[in-house]
Amino acid sequence: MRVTAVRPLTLALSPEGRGSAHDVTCDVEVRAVTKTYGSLTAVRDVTLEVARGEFFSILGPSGCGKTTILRMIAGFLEPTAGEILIGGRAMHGVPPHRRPTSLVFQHLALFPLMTVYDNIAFGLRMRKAAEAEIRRKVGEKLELITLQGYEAKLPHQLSGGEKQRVAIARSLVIEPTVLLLDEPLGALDLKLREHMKAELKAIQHRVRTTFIYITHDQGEALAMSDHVAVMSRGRLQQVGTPAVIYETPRTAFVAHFVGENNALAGRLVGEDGGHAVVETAEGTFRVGNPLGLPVGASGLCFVRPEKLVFGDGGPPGAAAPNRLQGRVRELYYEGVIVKVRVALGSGRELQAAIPTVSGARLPAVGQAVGLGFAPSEAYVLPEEADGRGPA
Amino acid sequence: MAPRRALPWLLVPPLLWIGGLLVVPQLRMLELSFRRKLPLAQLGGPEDVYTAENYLRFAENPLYWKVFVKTVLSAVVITAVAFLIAFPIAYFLAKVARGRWATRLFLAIVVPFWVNEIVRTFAWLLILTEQGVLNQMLVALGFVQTPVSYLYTEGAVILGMAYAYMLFMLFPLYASLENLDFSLVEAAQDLGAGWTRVLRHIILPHCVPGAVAGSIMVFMLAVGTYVVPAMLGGKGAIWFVQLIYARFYDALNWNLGSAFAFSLLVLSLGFVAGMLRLFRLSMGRVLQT
Repeated sequence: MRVTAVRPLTLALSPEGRGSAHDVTCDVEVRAVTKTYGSLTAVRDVTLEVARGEFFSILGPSGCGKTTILRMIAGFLEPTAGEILIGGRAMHGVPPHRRPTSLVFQHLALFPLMTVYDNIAFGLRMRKAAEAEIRRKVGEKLELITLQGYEAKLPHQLSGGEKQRVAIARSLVIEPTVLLLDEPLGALDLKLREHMKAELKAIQHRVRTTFIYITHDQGEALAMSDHVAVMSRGRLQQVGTPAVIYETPRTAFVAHFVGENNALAGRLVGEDGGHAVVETAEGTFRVGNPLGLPVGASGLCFVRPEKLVFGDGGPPGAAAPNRLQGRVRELYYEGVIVKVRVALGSGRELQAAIPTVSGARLPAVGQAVGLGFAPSEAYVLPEEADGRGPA
Repeated sequence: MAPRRALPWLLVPPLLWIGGLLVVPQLRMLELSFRRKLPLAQLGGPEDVYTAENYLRFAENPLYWKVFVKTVLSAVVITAVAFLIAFPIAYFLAKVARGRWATRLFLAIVVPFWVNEIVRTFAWLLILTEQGVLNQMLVALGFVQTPVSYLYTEGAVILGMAYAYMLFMLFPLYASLENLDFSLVEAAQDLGAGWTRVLRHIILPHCVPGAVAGSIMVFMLAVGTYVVPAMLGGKGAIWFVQLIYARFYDALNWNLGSAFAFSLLVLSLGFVAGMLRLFRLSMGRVLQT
């Protein structure tokens, strides 16, 4: 199956579609870019458009080609085929130091022998800016990252989060058209990462520079981005707002990779009022069919844990809910939600999630439970060509 | 035996080595340098007193001085030449060459140094003489009409020594370039630095400790060598060590020779201290590379 970077047209839950993308100036355009190393294809025919001033994430597991794309935009790699435009200008053959991009490296790459001030001033000095201007701009950026008074410190004297902010300031001070960030939060601990997520988004709001952010962490991508591009094995899987990516995945990979999902393998046996009827080992379900799979095709039915509703009544408002019977295997208390592992009659296990609102009744381990989900909350997608089954 | 108790015993051999073969002979030489050269009969007599005479002779004689200063300057030039040769090689080995090619290159550079220094210097002799490889090549290419002898000149000695001690510069430079995080180079490029400025602001500052370590070794070796200037320099390029040698073996004046040797030692140590101060480095930092 070939999934192109066509944006979904029916976005039930998206607050805004990508229809307006062409009205706004595109800052970065990646056009049919392929990058091969010998017989290995790192990036295969990827097309992306990043609008001015947006926070754009490229999400994918390690080795999916996302860093390769970023390095091609930054100019450290040249595409084997296709072209990259920044601010409407073709970038072929333009070296990194002549591109209007600035890269925040995965391990930050702060110059260890230079002070915070010299680190941030570096880009301006390379542009032969006047000393007074440098002082003013570095001061501004130190204010932006709230590290005034840190001018004379050396990188090794800073904490992880402070280094992070200095690296961002160093890249922003040269006023790039696009700021590229290569998993810069990867090395931080959980708490700090949460904090830096908010900080990054706040910084982006203040400076209004286009951010292209590379990550393998779907939480980061969803929380911070205006748009997310999901990649797998060098191919672009889907581009959309975080809500679109989460609610209406277009490939089995995206459905698995972004958030948690239950997948039930089955075959389309019919159609019923706009829904596909899928026969699985666990029963026959009515689910959405976003890609219009024909009757007779095999596919995976996806339903997210939080869409599974406990009780025999089924979800409120659903006309003809799908039903499952099972037994509670395990409960995982996670604070906001309680995760429930339910074993179905066939032996397959499903993940369900119950929000921990006050008064919610939790099932007990070993208890027989009924589960239901609305046809509109589930969808069938084709299995991936390489036979990648349910995770 | 507990490891802690064993430690003093383990220190005995190195201490014996350093004490017996380095400290004691040096102190003996220091003592000799402050005494007069006297006939055997007068030793221990009224003439046999401590005096700075030998050092004064060294200071008063312009010939000694000139050779001394020239040796130091040449050693500085040799150190610089060794750096200029070693740096690109070290950079290539550390950052460009990959896998099998890196190993092969390393071998190609190191194998000649398995050969004894004298034999290697003979190779230069064969290259630089009138009928040597260099002349044959230049004549064949038509750059010169009649062969020139490059031997027995300052240039020959500097070239020969820079080559002889290049490895001592190469290895510390390689070590410091090896641990240079290449993303620093990319970050500098990304922020607008071209290659020359990346070199100046990122790569060179990074390998200062390695360069200083290498410079100290090359300088010490160059200033104190005998073989290369004797073979390639002849009478055309006298090295200070040759003067020391002559005091000891030709003039049999051990006292004056010791004074010369000590002057050289003090100068070398001064050079090391100067280099460290110049680059604000500690000895420990340099020894790490």
